Amino acid sequence: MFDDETQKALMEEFFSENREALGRIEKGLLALESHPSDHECINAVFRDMHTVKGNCRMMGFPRMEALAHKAETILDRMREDNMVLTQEIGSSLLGVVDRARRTLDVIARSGSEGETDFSTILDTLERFANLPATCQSPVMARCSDDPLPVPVSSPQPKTKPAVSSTVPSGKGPYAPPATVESIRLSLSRLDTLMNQVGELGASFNQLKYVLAHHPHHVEQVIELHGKQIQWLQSEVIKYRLQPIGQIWDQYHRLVRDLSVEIGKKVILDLVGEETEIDRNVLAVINELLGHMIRNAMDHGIEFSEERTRHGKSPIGRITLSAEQKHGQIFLKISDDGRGIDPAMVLKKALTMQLVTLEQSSEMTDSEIVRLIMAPGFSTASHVSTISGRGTGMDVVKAALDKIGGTITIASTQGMGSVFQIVIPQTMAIVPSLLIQDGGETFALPQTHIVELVSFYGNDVTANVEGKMQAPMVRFREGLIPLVPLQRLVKRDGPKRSSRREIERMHQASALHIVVLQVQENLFGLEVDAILGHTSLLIKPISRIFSHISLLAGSAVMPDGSISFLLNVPALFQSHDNSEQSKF
Amino acid sequence: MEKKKALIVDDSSLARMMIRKFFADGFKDWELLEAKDAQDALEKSEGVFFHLALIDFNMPGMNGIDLAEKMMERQPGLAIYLVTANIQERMQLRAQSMGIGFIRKPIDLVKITSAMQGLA
Repeated sequence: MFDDETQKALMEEFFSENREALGRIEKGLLALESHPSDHECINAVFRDMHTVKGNCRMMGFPRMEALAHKAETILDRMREDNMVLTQEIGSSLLGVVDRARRTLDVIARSGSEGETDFSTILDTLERFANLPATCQSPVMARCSDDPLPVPVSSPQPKTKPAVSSTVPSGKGPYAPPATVESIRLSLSRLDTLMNQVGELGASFNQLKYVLAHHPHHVEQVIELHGKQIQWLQSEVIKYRLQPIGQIWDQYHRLVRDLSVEIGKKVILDLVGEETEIDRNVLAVINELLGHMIRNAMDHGIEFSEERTRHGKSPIGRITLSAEQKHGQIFLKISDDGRGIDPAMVLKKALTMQLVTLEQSSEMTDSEIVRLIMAPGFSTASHVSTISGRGTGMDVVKAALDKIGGTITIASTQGMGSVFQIVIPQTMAIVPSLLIQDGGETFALPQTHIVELVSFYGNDVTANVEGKMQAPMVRFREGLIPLVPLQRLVKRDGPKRSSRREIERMHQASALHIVVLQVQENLFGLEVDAILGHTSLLIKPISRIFSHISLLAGSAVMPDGSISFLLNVPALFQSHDNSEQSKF
Repeated sequence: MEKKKALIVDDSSLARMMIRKFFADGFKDWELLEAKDAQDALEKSEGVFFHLALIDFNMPGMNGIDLAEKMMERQPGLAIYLVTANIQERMQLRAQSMGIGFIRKPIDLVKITSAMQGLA
């Protein structure tokens, strides 16, 4: 391939670089034996092994290359936290260093790597390389109390979605992993569950006995019983949680395919992949996150030339982050693209008659930007092949409403947009406030509740007044809209004028108000009575009611009756619409 | 005629030597600037215009993709190839969405030639 002199120079470099690398690998491995989780060190050892492998390949020594390659595979697993360096593995890797050095000597003497047999050590390395991630010695202890159930029926979608030039439509290759119908549970976890169920059985027997023989001591036993059930409940809910990173992985592919398709340069950053979310919620947000990334690629990120012209990096950046706070999940999709132009949005909204010119004059920029979530809205002047799939941000919002989530948009023209989504971590158990209205019991999710206020006697008139012909209530030195729940749920009931409504309130001897928050909007919900806090096991409402967006789910009450969980964003929307229709 | 410039970044001196030989054999009208890691590359390439950059992925400090991003910020139209033997799929997708090409190790004259075909 090269002349003799060049070949000689290359070989000299080959020897010296490999010997240095092997020396560092040896030192690193020894250091790792006492600090097996030193990532810096693992990375350095990996890189050196990688260099040795590459050098052997370049100079044509396949046997030594294969040896280094196997060692590199194991080091790569350590790098990925899939394996921990045990003494046994360490010894084998050091064995690789010894053999590699001897082979270098052989090559130096004879010019070829000879017939040295590496099969024994290769077999050993192969065995380590194939160990299941969770079950080598030091990790064993960790894996038994590993709280993560691992999906077994649908492992990470390794199958590459076809790179088609056509638009992935509907449930394309990025559809939610809805097929994940089973989980894997460690035996020890199952045993703990068994134990708890056993104790539950025992305390039930105790309950029966106490009821029969010492009925006045029953309270204590019931309390214990309740605690055990609560424990079981929270334990089982944990099994439903899955790291969000599981669905995020496919977005790398999505971004890559889109960037090739439309010719934009983009970097996707993922933050907080370990955040755990209920698998049901996961399935819902998967589709909408995919959609929002498409939107960011299509509408947000500019072409390189345009970006450079505006003094930005030629490469756009989309960041997806997840964080768990107080039982809620905060998701952020931000891009450093062109941002959303309120003027463009308004122009479009006016043409589509989503708002009137009069209404728009009182709207802030951020309110105008929110119009992109109105049904059917799309600012792309042409139907784009990327995000124009007949679905827009309205679909995203509707999906979020269904799972009790909210979305806010912050956008700066020329700088980019941030979409923040807040969703409950789990949908099964919802901390709620029970209220009574019109003879029925309803539940309101705690997440939206700001405060509970009750006024009696003269305080009612002092705090409730009319403004712009609508009832308002004094709250934290300001006035917020006051909406009777009756008015929202009983559409066919008697409609009082706002003035009559205020009169009615003023005549009431007591007024109970739940102050709720939707996005940045506060409003007071007038109810007949506030009953108290509880955690409800929420079931999805049956199909026949599913068109009623005011209801988010149902729960069986202690007395066997059914109560509905109210959908607060939909309540607000409903109030807002009826306000606007007054004009 | 002024020589064309290529940036070669690889922490293996043998790999750099190899690439140097290939250029000396097949592309005499090219001038090379070599660097042993990202930091080195950023320092040496300040203010230099390149026609091509061949960057190793696995390097101490900043990896090849992050260096590529920095290089693109300096020179938006620069043709960049990641030279690597094996790379995680995720990293490969990331590079592709940035418009970066790939050359599989071991590098040879044919691979360098095909990388140059796309150049203006």
